[in-house]
Amino acid sequence: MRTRRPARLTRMILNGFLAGNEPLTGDLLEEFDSGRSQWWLLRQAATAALYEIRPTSATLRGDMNTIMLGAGLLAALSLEVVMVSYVLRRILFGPPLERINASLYLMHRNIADSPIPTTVGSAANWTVALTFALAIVASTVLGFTIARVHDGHRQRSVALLTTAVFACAGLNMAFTLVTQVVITGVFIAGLIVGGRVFGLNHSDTAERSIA
Amino acid sequence: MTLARQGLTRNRLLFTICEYMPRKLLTDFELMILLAILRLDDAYGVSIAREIEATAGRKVMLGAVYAALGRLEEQALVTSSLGEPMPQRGGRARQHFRLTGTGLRAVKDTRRALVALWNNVPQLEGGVG
Repeated sequence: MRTRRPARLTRMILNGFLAGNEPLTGDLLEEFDSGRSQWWLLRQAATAALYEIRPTSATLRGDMNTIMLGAGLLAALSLEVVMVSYVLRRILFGPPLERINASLYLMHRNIADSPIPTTVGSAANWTVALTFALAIVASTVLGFTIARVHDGHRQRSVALLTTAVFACAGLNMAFTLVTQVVITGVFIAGLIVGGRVFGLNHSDTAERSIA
Repeated sequence: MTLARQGLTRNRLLFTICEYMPRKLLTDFELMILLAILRLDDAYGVSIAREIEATAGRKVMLGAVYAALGRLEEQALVTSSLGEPMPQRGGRARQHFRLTGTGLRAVKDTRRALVALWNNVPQLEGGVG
């Protein structure tokens, strides 16, 4: 039976980052129980947490796959968003459908009277900043959620990702190309961070938190 | 060119190939961990860290020990098994580590390489200090 209780911050680190490493957590608690100080435990837990979250060759491989998959999906779906918007606009307001053809996408770029709703670059600075912030927050939460549902509900996670990507691509249309690319990068990075945070917290032993 | 013309028997050739194969040399910390495991009857995270601190006089963080142990296990230089859950560990089990044959060979290879580097260095001759 343990007689001492780790400090609140230490418990947060142990439960948040080291829950998946039972032997290490056990070693730290055993040493703490045998007389080590709170400061010792905090230092050891914080260092161990850094070792847990730092990328290893295996996680880097996983991240590269995620980045490539994310970038590919985003590119494909962004194109689709533009096409769908364009087709819808033509159906509702434009010339007859038979005049729509793919070559228009290659020939009309950023022209004011282009029938294609592409990059306009007319957004105000505060809108760019707000979108950056939203991209970070939303994608991190989304990455966490996708990682969570991915376990048993692959289709739901794909639907979530698709929806997110559509939203991101839709938002992007108001920005310049450089801003679009950076926001997209931030969004994908957020997805990875969210997924990784879930991965760190999720394990068979994570339920046994330190009280 | 045949083996006979080179003056090599099949076994000798195999030996030569093995000798020239690139070998895994360990970092100083990995070597210390493997040696600590060899010295201990019951090698787990804390006991390994204590052994290194007591014998080599180097302060080590448990997180670093476990990170290195994970790496060594991935490389099949050590194996591990979980013990029984213990109350003083909040119901958590100890992870006990053992060297594999590959691990032992890596230790020997590293020792051989270090000793070879040590030899014939005039500044190091004439005792320690």
